[in-house]
Amino acid sequence: MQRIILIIFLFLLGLSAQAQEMLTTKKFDFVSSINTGVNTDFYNSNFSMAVTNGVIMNQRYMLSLGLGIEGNQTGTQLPMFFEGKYLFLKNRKKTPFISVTSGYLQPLYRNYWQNVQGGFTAGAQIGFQNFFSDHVGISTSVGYRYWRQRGEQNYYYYDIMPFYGNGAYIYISNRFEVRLALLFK
Amino acid sequence: MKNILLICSALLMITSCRDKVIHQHMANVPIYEDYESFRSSIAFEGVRAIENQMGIYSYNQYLFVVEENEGIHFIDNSNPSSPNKLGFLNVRGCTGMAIKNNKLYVNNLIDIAVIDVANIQQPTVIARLEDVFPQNYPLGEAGHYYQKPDPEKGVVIGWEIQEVKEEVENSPYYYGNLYQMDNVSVANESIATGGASGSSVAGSITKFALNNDHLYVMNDFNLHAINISNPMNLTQGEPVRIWRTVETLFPYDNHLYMGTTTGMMIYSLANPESPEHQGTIVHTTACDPVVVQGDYAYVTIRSGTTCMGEINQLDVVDVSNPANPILKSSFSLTNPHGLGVNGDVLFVCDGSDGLKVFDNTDPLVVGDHLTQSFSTIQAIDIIPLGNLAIVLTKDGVYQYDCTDVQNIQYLSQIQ
Repeated sequence: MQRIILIIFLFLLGLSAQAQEMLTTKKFDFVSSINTGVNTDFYNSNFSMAVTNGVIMNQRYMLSLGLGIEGNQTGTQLPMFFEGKYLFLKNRKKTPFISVTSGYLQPLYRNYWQNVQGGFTAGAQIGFQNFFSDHVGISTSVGYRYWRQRGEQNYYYYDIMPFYGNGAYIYISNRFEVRLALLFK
Repeated sequence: MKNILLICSALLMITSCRDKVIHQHMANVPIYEDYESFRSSIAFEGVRAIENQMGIYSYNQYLFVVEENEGIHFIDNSNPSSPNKLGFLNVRGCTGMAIKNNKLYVNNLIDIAVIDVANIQQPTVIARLEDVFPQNYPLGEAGHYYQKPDPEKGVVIGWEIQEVKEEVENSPYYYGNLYQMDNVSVANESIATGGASGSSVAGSITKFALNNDHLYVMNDFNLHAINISNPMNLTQGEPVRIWRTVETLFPYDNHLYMGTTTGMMIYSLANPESPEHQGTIVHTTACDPVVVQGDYAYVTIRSGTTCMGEINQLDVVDVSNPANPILKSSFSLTNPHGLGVNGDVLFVCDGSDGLKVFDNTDPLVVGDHLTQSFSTIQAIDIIPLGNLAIVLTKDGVYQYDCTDVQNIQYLSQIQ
Protein backbone atom coordinates (compact mmCIF):
# COMPACT_ATOMS: atom_id res chain seq x y z
CA MET A 1 0.00 0.00 0.00
CA GLN A 2 2.82 2.37 0.89
CA ARG A 3 4.47 1.67 -2.46
CA ILE A 4 1.27 2.46 -4.32
CA ILE A 5 0.96 5.75 -2.49
CA LEU A 6 4.59 6.57 -3.22
CA ILE A 7 4.13 5.81 -6.93
CA ILE A 8 1.01 7.97 -7.12
CA PHE A 9 2.79 10.75 -5.30
CA LEU A 10 5.77 10.63 -7.66
CA PHE A 11 3.42 10.46 -10.63
CA LEU A 12 1.58 13.55 -9.48
CA LEU A 13 4.84 15.30 -8.74
CA GLY A 14 6.04 14.54 -12.24
CA LEU A 15 2.86 15.88 -13.75
CA SER A 16 3.17 19.04 -11.74
CA ALA A 17 6.69 19.57 -12.91
CA GLN A 18 5.51 19.54 -16.53
CA ALA A 19 2.49 21.74 -16.05
CA GLN A 20 2.26 25.44 -16.69
CA GLU A 21 2.56 27.72 -13.68
CA MET A 22 -0.55 29.86 -14.23
CA LEU A 23 -3.70 28.64 -12.52
CA THR A 24 -6.13 30.20 -14.92
CA THR A 25 -6.30 32.84 -17.57
CA LYS A 26 -9.92 33.75 -16.80
CA LYS A 27 -11.22 36.24 -14.30
CA PHE A 28 -13.86 33.72 -13.20
CA ASP A 29 -13.29 30.03 -13.46
CA PHE A 30 -15.24 27.08 -12.14
CA VAL A 31 -13.72 24.60 -9.75
CA SER A 32 -14.94 21.44 -8.08
CA SER A 33 -13.43 19.25 -5.41
CA ILE A 34 -13.89 15.93 -3.70
CA ASN A 35 -12.72 16.04 -0.10
CA THR A 36 -12.03 13.26 2.31
CA GLY A 37 -10.77 13.71 5.80
CA VAL A 38 -10.61 12.77 9.41
CA ASN A 39 -11.73 14.84 12.37
CA THR A 40 -10.71 14.05 15.92
CA ASP A 41 -10.77 15.39 19.47
CA PHE A 42 -7.95 12.95 20.22
CA TYR A 43 -10.44 10.66 22.01
CA ASN A 44 -12.94 10.07 19.23
CA SER A 45 -12.38 10.26 15.49
CA ASN A 46 -14.69 10.25 12.47
CA PHE A 47 -14.30 10.26 8.72
CA SER A 48 -15.73 12.96 6.53
CA MET A 49 -16.36 13.40 2.84
CA ALA A 50 -17.68 16.33 0.82
CA VAL A 51 -18.18 17.56 -2.70
CA THR A 52 -17.88 21.25 -3.46
CA ASN A 53 -18.58 23.35 -6.52
CA GLY A 54 -17.55 26.93 -6.86
CA VAL A 55 -15.70 29.64 -8.66
CA ILE A 56 -12.24 31.14 -8.62
CA MET A 57 -12.45 34.89 -8.70
CA ASN A 58 -9.63 37.22 -9.63
CA GLN A 59 -7.32 34.19 -9.70
CA ARG A 60 -7.06 34.34 -5.93
CA TYR A 61 -10.43 33.89 -4.23
CA MET A 62 -12.47 30.72 -4.31
CA LEU A 63 -16.08 30.55 -3.19
CA SER A 64 -17.77 27.15 -3.15
CA LEU A 65 -20.96 25.47 -2.09
CA GLY A 66 -20.54 22.06 -0.54
CA LEU A 67 -22.49 18.99 0.47
CA GLY A 68 -21.03 16.17 2.48
CA ILE A 69 -21.39 13.30 4.85
CA GLU A 70 -19.45 13.06 8.07
CA GLY A 71 -19.47 11.78 11.59
CA ASN A 72 -19.33 13.62 14.87
CA GLN A 73 -20.20 12.90 18.49
CA THR A 74 -23.94 12.60 17.83
CA GLY A 75 -23.75 10.36 14.77
CA THR A 76 -23.71 10.72 11.01
CA GLN A 77 -24.38 14.19 9.64
CA LEU A 78 -25.15 15.79 6.32
CA PRO A 79 -23.36 19.15 6.22
CA MET A 80 -24.36 21.82 3.69
CA PHE A 81 -21.89 24.64 3.69
CA PHE A 82 -20.18 27.54 2.00
CA GLU A 83 -16.43 27.55 1.70
CA GLY A 84 -14.30 30.59 1.09
CA LYS A 85 -10.68 30.11 0.16
CA TYR A 86 -7.86 32.60 -0.12
CA LEU A 87 -4.85 31.68 -2.22
CA PHE A 88 -1.66 33.20 -0.95
CA LEU A 89 0.00 33.14 -4.36
CA LYS A 90 -2.20 34.73 -6.99
CA ASN A 91 -2.86 32.65 -10.06
CA ARG A 92 -0.31 30.00 -9.22
CA LYS A 93 -0.88 26.31 -9.52
CA LYS A 94 1.09 25.65 -6.41
CA THR A 95 0.05 27.81 -3.57
CA PRO A 96 -0.65 27.70 0.11
CA PHE A 97 -4.13 28.76 1.15
CA ILE A 98 -6.46 29.35 4.01
CA SER A 99 -10.13 28.53 3.91
CA VAL A 100 -13.17 29.00 6.11
CA THR A 101 -16.39 27.00 6.03
CA SER A 102 -19.75 27.65 7.56
CA GLY A 103 -23.07 25.95 7.16
CA TYR A 104 -25.96 23.86 8.38
CA LEU A 105 -25.78 20.35 9.67
CA GLN A 106 -28.60 17.87 9.25
CA PRO A 107 -28.48 14.56 11.13
CA LEU A 108 -28.93 11.59 8.85
CA TYR A 109 -30.00 9.36 11.72
CA ARG A 110 -31.60 10.37 14.99
CA ASN A 111 -30.97 8.33 18.08
CA TYR A 112 -34.26 8.18 20.00
CA TRP A 113 -32.54 8.82 23.31
CA GLN A 114 -30.74 11.92 22.09
CA ASN A 115 -33.19 13.16 19.45
CA VAL A 116 -30.60 15.51 18.02
CA GLN A 117 -31.76 18.31 15.74
CA GLY A 118 -29.95 20.10 12.93
CA GLY A 119 -27.28 22.59 13.86
CA PHE A 120 -24.43 24.82 12.89
CA THR A 121 -21.00 23.94 11.66
CA ALA A 122 -17.93 26.02 10.90
CA GLY A 123 -14.26 25.51 10.37
CA ALA A 124 -10.98 26.96 9.27
CA GLN A 125 -8.18 25.26 7.37
CA ILE A 126 -4.68 26.03 6.26
CA GLY A 127 -3.11 23.98 3.51
CA PHE A 128 -1.39 23.68 0.19
CA GLN A 129 -2.89 23.04 -3.22
CA ASN A 130 -1.16 21.88 -6.31
CA PHE A 131 -2.74 21.79 -9.79
CA PHE A 132 -0.43 19.38 -11.50
CA SER A 133 -2.26 19.80 -14.79
CA ASP A 134 -4.54 22.42 -16.25
CA HIS A 135 -7.58 20.64 -14.91
CA VAL A 136 -6.63 18.40 -12.00
CA GLY A 137 -4.96 19.06 -8.74
CA ILE A 138 -4.74 17.99 -5.13
CA SER A 139 -4.77 19.81 -1.87
CA THR A 140 -3.97 18.92 1.69
CA SER A 141 -4.95 20.94 4.68
CA VAL A 142 -5.26 20.87 8.45
CA GLY A 143 -7.53 22.90 10.67
CA TYR A 144 -10.28 23.21 13.17
CA ARG A 145 -13.94 22.15 12.99
CA TYR A 146 -16.83 23.17 15.15
CA TRP A 147 -20.31 21.67 15.39
CA ARG A 148 -23.20 22.78 17.53
CA GLN A 149 -26.42 20.79 17.68
CA ARG A 150 -29.38 20.76 19.99
CA GLY A 151 -31.15 17.68 21.25
CA GLU A 152 -33.98 16.85 23.59
CA GLN A 153 -32.77 13.83 25.41
CA ASN A 154 -35.28 11.15 26.17
CA TYR A 155 -35.00 8.75 29.04
CA TYR A 156 -37.51 6.34 30.42
CA TYR A 157 -37.46 8.30 33.65
CA TYR A 158 -39.09 11.22 31.83
CA ASP A 159 -41.74 8.97 30.41
CA ILE A 160 -42.87 7.91 33.85
CA MET A 161 -42.27 11.30 35.50
CA PRO A 162 -43.05 13.79 32.76
CA PHE A 163 -43.52 16.62 35.25
CA TYR A 164 -39.78 16.98 35.53
CA GLY A 165 -38.77 19.36 32.76
CA ASN A 166 -35.73 17.94 31.08
CA GLY A 167 -34.71 20.97 29.04
CA ALA A 168 -32.34 20.60 26.12
CA TYR A 169 -28.89 19.24 25.49
CA ILE A 170 -26.42 21.14 23.35
CA TYR A 171 -23.79 19.00 21.70
CA ILE A 172 -20.64 20.90 20.88
CA SER A 173 -17.74 19.38 19.02
CA ASN A 174 -14.39 21.08 18.74
CA ARG A 175 -12.15 18.94 16.61
CA PHE A 176 -8.89 18.89 14.76
CA GLU A 177 -9.37 18.04 11.09
CA VAL A 178 -7.10 16.77 8.30
CA ARG A 179 -8.33 16.90 4.71
CA LEU A 180 -7.19 15.61 1.38
CA ALA A 181 -8.93 16.85 -1.76
CA LEU A 182 -8.97 16.18 -5.46
CA LEU A 183 -9.50 19.42 -7.40
CA PHE A 184 -11.03 19.76 -10.85
CA LYS A 185 -11.11 22.88 -12.95
CA MET B 1 11.90 29.68 20.18
CA LYS B 2 9.99 28.55 17.11
CA ASN B 3 9.96 24.99 18.41
CA ILE B 4 8.55 26.12 21.73
CA LEU B 5 5.82 28.09 19.99
CA LEU B 6 5.04 25.08 17.84
CA ILE B 7 4.79 22.77 20.85
CA CYS B 8 2.61 25.27 22.72
CA SER B 9 0.31 25.63 19.73
CA ALA B 10 0.02 21.86 19.40
CA LEU B 11 -0.77 21.49 23.11
CA LEU B 12 -3.36 24.25 22.90
CA MET B 13 -4.98 22.56 19.95
CA ILE B 14 -5.06 19.17 21.66
CA THR B 15 -6.52 20.51 24.88
CA SER B 16 -9.06 22.80 23.25
CA CYS B 17 -10.29 20.24 20.74
CA ARG B 18 -12.82 18.39 22.80
CA ASP B 19 -16.40 17.20 22.38
CA LYS B 20 -18.74 18.31 25.10
CA VAL B 21 -22.42 18.27 25.99
CA ILE B 22 -24.16 21.18 27.68
CA HIS B 23 -27.42 20.53 29.54
CA GLN B 24 -29.59 23.63 29.29
CA HIS B 25 -32.73 23.71 31.38
CA MET B 26 -34.69 25.41 34.14
CA ALA B 27 -33.68 24.33 37.61
CA ASN B 28 -33.79 25.22 41.27
CA VAL B 29 -30.61 27.24 41.67
CA PRO B 30 -29.25 27.71 45.19
CA ILE B 31 -29.47 31.05 46.96
CA TYR B 32 -26.50 31.28 49.26
CA GLU B 33 -25.80 33.14 52.43
CA ASP B 34 -22.33 33.34 53.86
CA TYR B 35 -21.77 31.24 56.95
CA GLU B 36 -21.19 34.16 59.29
CA SER B 37 -24.43 35.93 58.36
CA PHE B 38 -26.35 32.68 58.46
CA ARG B 39 -25.09 31.83 61.93
CA SER B 40 -26.04 35.21 63.29
CA SER B 41 -29.51 35.30 61.74
CA ILE B 42 -31.57 33.82 64.58
CA ALA B 43 -33.68 36.62 66.02
CA PHE B 44 -36.67 37.01 68.33
CA GLU B 45 -39.41 39.04 66.66
CA GLY B 46 -42.95 40.12 67.30
CA VAL B 47 -45.93 37.79 67.21
CA ARG B 48 -47.26 36.57 63.90
CA ALA B 49 -50.01 34.28 62.71
CA ILE B 50 -49.56 30.52 62.68
CA GLU B 51 -49.65 29.57 59.02
CA ASN B 52 -47.61 26.49 58.25
CA GLN B 53 -47.41 24.64 61.52
CA MET B 54 -45.64 21.33 61.69
CA GLY B 55 -45.02 20.60 65.34
CA ILE B 56 -46.08 21.55 68.82
CA TYR B 57 -44.13 21.37 72.05
CA SER B 58 -44.81 22.07 75.67
CA TYR B 59 -42.27 23.12 78.27
CA ASN B 60 -43.31 24.25 81.72
CA GLN B 61 -46.11 26.79 81.21
CA TYR B 62 -45.13 27.53 77.60
CA LEU B 63 -46.15 26.19 74.24
CA PHE B 64 -43.97 26.28 71.16
CA VAL B 65 -45.34 25.90 67.65
CA VAL B 66 -42.88 25.29 64.85
CA GLU B 67 -43.51 27.16 61.63
CA GLU B 68 -42.00 24.99 58.92
CA ASN B 69 -38.58 26.24 57.82
CA GLU B 70 -39.16 29.63 59.41
CA GLY B 71 -39.07 29.49 63.18
CA ILE B 72 -40.92 28.98 66.42
CA HIS B 73 -43.95 30.70 67.95
CA PHE B 74 -43.51 31.25 71.70
CA ILE B 75 -46.80 31.10 73.62
CA ASP B 76 -47.45 31.64 77.31
CA ASN B 77 -49.91 28.89 78.26
CA SER B 78 -50.12 29.65 81.97
CA ASN B 79 -53.86 29.88 81.47
CA PRO B 80 -54.85 27.30 78.85
CA SER B 81 -58.21 28.99 78.49
CA SER B 82 -56.49 32.14 77.37
CA PRO B 83 -53.01 31.49 75.94
CA ASN B 84 -50.91 34.52 75.10
CA LYS B 85 -48.45 34.72 72.20
CA LEU B 86 -45.09 36.12 73.25
CA GLY B 87 -43.18 36.35 69.99
CA PHE B 88 -41.63 34.49 67.11
CA LEU B 89 -38.10 33.12 67.03
CA ASN B 90 -36.87 33.35 63.48
CA VAL B 91 -34.82 30.24 62.77
CA ARG B 92 -34.06 29.55 59.13
CA GLY B 93 -34.72 25.96 58.13
CA CYS B 94 -36.26 25.11 61.47
CA THR B 95 -38.45 22.02 61.49
CA GLY B 96 -38.53 21.17 65.15
CA MET B 97 -37.07 21.64 68.57
CA ALA B 98 -36.52 20.22 72.00
CA ILE B 99 -35.89 21.84 75.35
CA LYS B 100 -33.99 20.57 78.32
CA ASN B 101 -33.02 22.59 81.38
CA ASN B 102 -33.93 25.90 79.74
CA LYS B 103 -31.79 25.16 76.70
CA LEU B 104 -33.70 24.99 73.44
CA TYR B 105 -32.17 22.79 70.73
CA VAL B 106 -33.30 23.56 67.23
CA ASN B 107 -32.18 22.55 63.78
CA ASN B 108 -31.01 25.58 61.86
CA LEU B 109 -30.62 24.03 58.38
CA ILE B 110 -27.15 22.55 58.61
CA ASP B 111 -26.54 23.19 62.32
CA ILE B 112 -28.04 22.44 65.68
CA ALA B 113 -28.37 25.73 67.56
CA VAL B 114 -28.55 25.95 71.34
CA ILE B 115 -30.71 28.79 72.64
CA ASP B 116 -30.98 29.84 76.25
CA VAL B 117 -34.68 30.37 77.08
CA ALA B 118 -34.30 30.99 80.80
CA ASN B 119 -35.62 34.45 80.02
CA ILE B 120 -38.42 33.52 77.66
CA GLN B 121 -38.76 37.10 76.46
CA GLN B 122 -35.14 37.23 75.41
CA PRO B 123 -33.95 33.94 73.92
CA THR B 124 -30.23 33.99 73.20
CA VAL B 125 -28.12 31.74 71.00
CA ILE B 126 -25.33 30.40 73.21
CA ALA B 127 -23.77 27.62 71.14
CA ARG B 128 -23.93 25.62 67.94
CA LEU B 129 -23.00 22.23 66.66
CA GLU B 130 -21.99 23.11 63.15
CA ASP B 131 -22.41 21.13 59.94
CA VAL B 132 -24.37 18.30 61.55
CA PHE B 133 -26.53 18.05 58.42
CA PRO B 134 -24.36 19.46 55.66
CA GLN B 135 -26.84 18.42 53.00
CA ASN B 136 -30.00 19.82 54.54
CA TYR B 137 -31.58 22.22 52.12
CA PRO B 138 -34.90 24.04 52.07
CA LEU B 139 -37.45 22.84 49.54
CA GLY B 140 -37.45 24.38 46.10
CA GLU B 141 -40.12 24.55 43.45
CA ALA B 142 -41.60 21.19 42.52
CA GLY B 143 -41.13 19.92 39.00
CA HIS B 144 -37.56 21.11 38.60
CA TYR B 145 -34.23 19.57 39.32
CA TYR B 146 -31.89 20.99 41.88
CA GLN B 147 -28.55 22.37 40.91
CA LYS B 148 -25.89 20.81 43.07
CA PRO B 149 -24.94 23.29 45.79
CA ASP B 150 -21.37 24.37 46.34
CA PRO B 151 -20.62 24.47 50.09
CA GLU B 152 -17.74 26.85 49.42
CA LYS B 153 -20.25 29.53 48.49
CA GLY B 154 -22.12 29.39 51.78
CA VAL B 155 -25.32 27.96 53.18
CA VAL B 156 -28.24 27.27 50.85
CA ILE B 157 -31.10 29.31 52.29
CA GLY B 158 -33.44 28.99 49.34
CA TRP B 159 -33.80 28.30 45.66
CA GLU B 160 -34.78 30.31 42.62
CA ILE B 161 -35.82 28.99 39.25
CA GLN B 162 -33.26 29.90 36.62
CA GLU B 163 -32.05 28.61 33.32
CA VAL B 164 -28.80 26.78 33.86
CA LYS B 165 -26.22 25.46 31.47
CA GLU B 166 -23.76 22.92 32.65
CA GLU B 167 -21.46 20.46 31.07
CA VAL B 168 -22.49 16.85 31.44
CA GLU B 169 -21.10 13.57 30.28
CA ASN B 170 -21.88 12.47 26.78
CA SER B 171 -23.91 9.32 26.93
CA PRO B 172 -27.12 8.51 25.12
CA TYR B 173 -28.47 7.24 28.42
CA TYR B 174 -27.36 10.14 30.51
CA TYR B 175 -30.23 11.77 32.37
CA GLY B 176 -28.86 14.69 34.25
CA ASN B 177 -26.19 15.83 36.61
CA LEU B 178 -28.60 17.34 39.04
CA TYR B 179 -30.27 16.30 42.21
CA GLN B 180 -33.72 14.91 42.00
CA MET B 181 -35.82 15.27 45.09
CA ASP B 182 -34.86 11.85 46.34
CA ASN B 183 -31.26 12.98 46.54
CA VAL B 184 -31.92 16.13 48.46
CA SER B 185 -32.01 15.71 52.19
CA VAL B 186 -34.73 18.04 53.27
CA ALA B 187 -35.39 18.34 56.96
CA ASN B 188 -39.14 18.55 56.89
CA GLU B 189 -40.31 16.64 59.89
CA SER B 190 -40.93 17.92 63.34
CA ILE B 191 -38.72 17.42 66.32
CA ALA B 192 -40.06 16.10 69.55
CA THR B 193 -39.10 14.55 72.80
CA GLY B 194 -40.57 11.89 74.96
CA GLY B 195 -40.94 14.21 77.88
CA ALA B 196 -38.09 13.22 80.12
CA SER B 197 -37.64 15.11 83.38
CA GLY B 198 -36.89 18.81 82.85
CA SER B 199 -37.55 18.42 79.15
CA SER B 200 -40.11 19.58 76.68
CA VAL B 201 -42.93 17.32 75.59
CA ALA B 202 -44.00 16.92 72.01
CA GLY B 203 -46.29 14.99 69.79
CA SER B 204 -45.76 11.73 68.00
CA ILE B 205 -44.76 12.98 64.55
CA THR B 206 -41.11 13.59 65.17
CA LYS B 207 -37.70 12.98 63.79
CA PHE B 208 -35.85 14.04 66.91
CA ALA B 209 -35.97 12.47 70.32
CA LEU B 210 -34.45 13.41 73.66
CA ASN B 211 -33.26 10.70 76.01
CA ASN B 212 -31.21 11.59 79.09
CA ASP B 213 -28.15 13.45 77.87
CA HIS B 214 -28.60 12.66 74.22
CA LEU B 215 -30.60 14.22 71.45
CA TYR B 216 -31.35 11.78 68.64
CA VAL B 217 -31.90 13.21 65.21
CA MET B 218 -33.06 11.22 62.23
CA ASN B 219 -31.86 12.86 59.05
CA ASP B 220 -32.15 11.14 55.69
CA PHE B 221 -30.99 7.59 56.49
CA ASN B 222 -28.70 8.58 59.36
CA LEU B 223 -29.51 8.57 63.05
CA HIS B 224 -27.38 11.21 64.80
CA ALA B 225 -26.73 10.86 68.52
CA ILE B 226 -25.80 14.26 69.91
CA ASN B 227 -24.43 14.52 73.41
CA ILE B 228 -26.04 17.54 75.12
CA SER B 229 -24.61 17.02 78.62
CA ASN B 230 -22.67 20.23 78.09
CA PRO B 231 -24.92 22.55 76.06
CA MET B 232 -21.99 24.85 75.39
CA ASN B 233 -20.08 22.07 73.75
CA LEU B 234 -22.29 19.61 71.89
CA THR B 235 -20.61 16.54 70.46
CA GLN B 236 -21.74 13.72 68.27
CA GLY B 237 -20.38 10.33 67.32
CA GLU B 238 -20.59 8.54 64.03
CA PRO B 239 -24.19 8.53 62.72
CA VAL B 240 -25.92 5.15 62.65
CA ARG B 241 -27.16 4.13 59.22
CA ILE B 242 -30.83 3.04 59.24
CA TRP B 243 -31.84 1.07 56.18
CA ARG B 244 -35.46 2.17 56.18
CA THR B 245 -37.24 5.45 55.63
CA VAL B 246 -37.72 6.65 59.19
CA GLU B 247 -40.50 9.19 59.74
CA THR B 248 -40.87 9.42 63.49
CA LEU B 249 -38.87 8.75 66.64
CA PHE B 250 -40.26 8.09 70.10
CA PRO B 251 -37.98 7.46 73.07
CA TYR B 252 -39.33 5.24 75.81
CA ASP B 253 -37.71 3.24 78.58
CA ASN B 254 -34.22 3.63 77.17
CA HIS B 255 -35.35 2.48 73.75
CA LEU B 256 -35.97 4.37 70.58
CA TYR B 257 -39.13 3.47 68.66
CA MET B 258 -38.99 4.38 64.99
CA GLY B 259 -41.98 4.69 62.75
CA THR B 260 -40.81 3.85 59.25
CA THR B 261 -42.69 3.63 55.97
CA THR B 262 -42.48 -0.13 56.10
CA GLY B 263 -42.78 -0.96 59.78
CA MET B 264 -41.82 -0.12 63.32
CA MET B 265 -38.26 -0.56 64.50
CA ILE B 266 -36.91 -0.63 68.04
CA TYR B 267 -33.37 0.43 68.92
CA SER B 268 -31.73 0.03 72.29
CA LEU B 269 -30.17 3.13 73.83
CA ALA B 270 -28.09 1.14 76.32
CA ASN B 271 -25.10 2.57 74.51
CA PRO B 272 -26.38 6.10 73.96
CA GLU B 273 -23.69 7.02 71.48
CA SER B 274 -24.44 4.08 69.26
CA PRO B 275 -28.04 2.79 69.31
CA GLU B 276 -28.41 -0.88 68.45
CA HIS B 277 -31.24 -2.53 66.59
CA GLN B 278 -33.48 -4.71 68.76
CA GLY B 279 -36.55 -5.64 66.79
CA THR B 280 -38.78 -4.80 63.86
CA ILE B 281 -42.39 -5.34 62.97
CA VAL B 282 -43.21 -4.95 59.30
CA HIS B 283 -46.28 -3.55 57.60
CA THR B 284 -47.15 -2.41 54.11
CA THR B 285 -45.84 0.91 52.88
CA ALA B 286 -47.51 3.77 54.75
CA CYS B 287 -46.86 6.57 57.24
CA ASP B 288 -46.89 5.47 60.85
CA PRO B 289 -46.22 7.52 63.97
CA VAL B 290 -45.76 5.49 67.11
CA VAL B 291 -46.18 6.10 70.85
CA VAL B 292 -45.48 3.69 73.69
CA GLN B 293 -46.90 3.12 77.12
CA GLY B 294 -46.13 0.14 79.31
CA ASP B 295 -45.84 -3.03 77.26
CA TYR B 296 -47.66 -1.67 74.24
CA ALA B 297 -46.79 0.45 71.28
CA TYR B 298 -49.62 2.20 69.45
CA VAL B 299 -48.98 2.68 65.77
CA THR B 300 -51.20 4.50 63.31
CA ILE B 301 -50.77 3.53 59.67
CA ARG B 302 -51.89 6.06 57.12
CA SER B 303 -52.19 6.02 53.35
CA GLY B 304 -52.34 8.87 50.87
CA THR B 305 -50.04 11.49 49.31
CA THR B 306 -46.43 10.57 49.87
CA CYS B 307 -47.38 7.83 52.29
CA MET B 308 -48.76 5.55 49.56
CA GLY B 309 -50.38 2.35 50.76
CA GLU B 310 -54.06 1.62 51.06
CA ILE B 311 -54.58 1.02 54.73
CA ASN B 312 -55.64 3.34 57.51
CA GLN B 313 -55.56 1.70 60.87
CA LEU B 314 -54.39 1.64 64.45
CA ASP B 315 -52.11 -1.23 65.43
CA VAL B 316 -51.43 -2.28 69.00
CA VAL B 317 -48.08 -4.01 69.34
CA ASP B 318 -46.78 -5.93 72.32
CA VAL B 319 -43.27 -4.60 72.96
CA SER B 320 -42.68 -6.27 76.31
CA ASN B 321 -39.79 -7.97 74.56
CA PRO B 322 -38.29 -5.24 72.33
CA ALA B 323 -36.37 -7.85 70.40
CA ASN B 324 -39.60 -9.51 69.36
CA PRO B 325 -42.49 -7.05 68.90
CA ILE B 326 -45.80 -8.83 68.28
CA LEU B 327 -48.84 -7.32 66.60
CA LYS B 328 -51.76 -7.90 68.94
CA SER B 329 -54.68 -6.08 67.35
CA SER B 330 -55.63 -3.71 64.55
CA PHE B 331 -58.52 -1.27 64.19
CA SER B 332 -59.73 0.47 61.10
CA LEU B 333 -59.57 4.29 61.00
CA THR B 334 -60.17 7.03 58.41
CA ASN B 335 -56.80 8.74 57.91
CA PRO B 336 -54.86 8.63 61.18
CA HIS B 337 -51.97 11.00 61.78
CA GLY B 338 -50.43 11.63 65.18
CA LEU B 339 -51.54 10.04 68.40
CA GLY B 340 -50.95 10.26 72.12
CA VAL B 341 -51.54 8.02 75.08
CA ASN B 342 -52.09 9.09 78.66
CA GLY B 343 -52.99 6.33 81.08
CA ASP B 344 -56.37 4.93 80.18
CA VAL B 345 -56.97 7.38 77.36
CA LEU B 346 -55.72 7.11 73.80
CA PHE B 347 -56.05 10.10 71.49
CA VAL B 348 -55.85 9.64 67.74
CA CYS B 349 -55.76 12.48 65.22
CA ASP B 350 -57.83 10.92 62.47
CA GLY B 351 -57.45 13.44 59.68
CA SER B 352 -60.74 14.88 58.46
CA ASP B 353 -62.57 12.84 61.10
CA GLY B 354 -60.94 15.04 63.70
CA LEU B 355 -59.74 14.01 67.12
CA LYS B 356 -60.90 10.64 68.46
CA VAL B 357 -60.68 9.65 72.09
CA PHE B 358 -60.57 5.97 73.03
CA ASP B 359 -60.84 4.15 76.33
CA ASN B 360 -57.47 2.47 76.77
CA THR B 361 -58.33 0.42 79.85
CA ASP B 362 -57.63 -2.70 77.80
CA PRO B 363 -55.11 -1.81 75.07
CA LEU B 364 -55.94 -4.93 73.07
CA VAL B 365 -59.46 -3.69 72.36
CA VAL B 366 -58.79 0.05 72.52
CA GLY B 367 -60.01 0.68 68.99
CA ASP B 368 -63.45 -0.69 69.82
CA HIS B 369 -64.02 1.78 72.61
CA LEU B 370 -64.43 5.22 71.09
CA THR B 371 -65.63 7.51 73.86
CA GLN B 372 -65.65 10.88 72.16
CA SER B 373 -64.74 12.54 68.89
CA PHE B 374 -64.22 16.11 67.73
CA SER B 375 -64.95 16.07 64.04
CA THR B 376 -64.97 19.82 63.49
CA ILE B 377 -61.18 20.03 63.62
CA GLN B 378 -58.65 18.49 61.27
CA ALA B 379 -56.22 17.13 63.79
CA ILE B 380 -52.58 16.48 62.92
CA ASP B 381 -50.88 15.69 66.21
CA ILE B 382 -51.51 15.80 69.93
CA ILE B 383 -49.77 16.22 73.26
CA PRO B 384 -51.75 14.69 76.13
CA LEU B 385 -50.39 16.58 79.12
CA GLY B 386 -51.96 15.88 82.48
CA ASN B 387 -55.56 17.03 82.23
CA LEU B 388 -54.87 18.93 79.06
CA ALA B 389 -55.02 17.80 75.43
CA ILE B 390 -53.05 20.11 73.15
CA VAL B 391 -54.02 19.40 69.57
CA LEU B 392 -52.19 20.62 66.49
CA THR B 393 -54.67 21.13 63.67
CA LYS B 394 -54.82 22.68 60.23
CA ASP B 395 -56.28 25.77 61.89
CA GLY B 396 -53.72 26.23 64.62
CA VAL B 397 -53.72 24.76 68.09
CA TYR B 398 -56.77 23.68 70.06
CA GLN B 399 -56.75 22.89 73.75
CA TYR B 400 -59.16 20.71 75.65
CA ASP B 401 -59.75 20.07 79.32
CA CYS B 402 -59.62 16.32 79.93
CA THR B 403 -60.30 16.37 83.67
CA ASP B 404 -63.40 14.30 82.94
CA VAL B 405 -62.41 12.06 80.03
CA GLN B 406 -66.05 11.22 79.43
CA ASN B 407 -66.79 14.87 78.93
CA ILE B 408 -63.78 16.61 77.40
CA GLN B 409 -64.27 20.35 77.18
CA TYR B 410 -62.94 22.83 74.61
CA LEU B 411 -60.72 25.48 76.18
CA SER B 412 -59.09 27.63 73.52
CA GLN B 413 -57.73 28.01 70.04
CA ILE B 414 -54.42 29.61 69.05
CA GLN B 415 -54.06 30.89 65.49
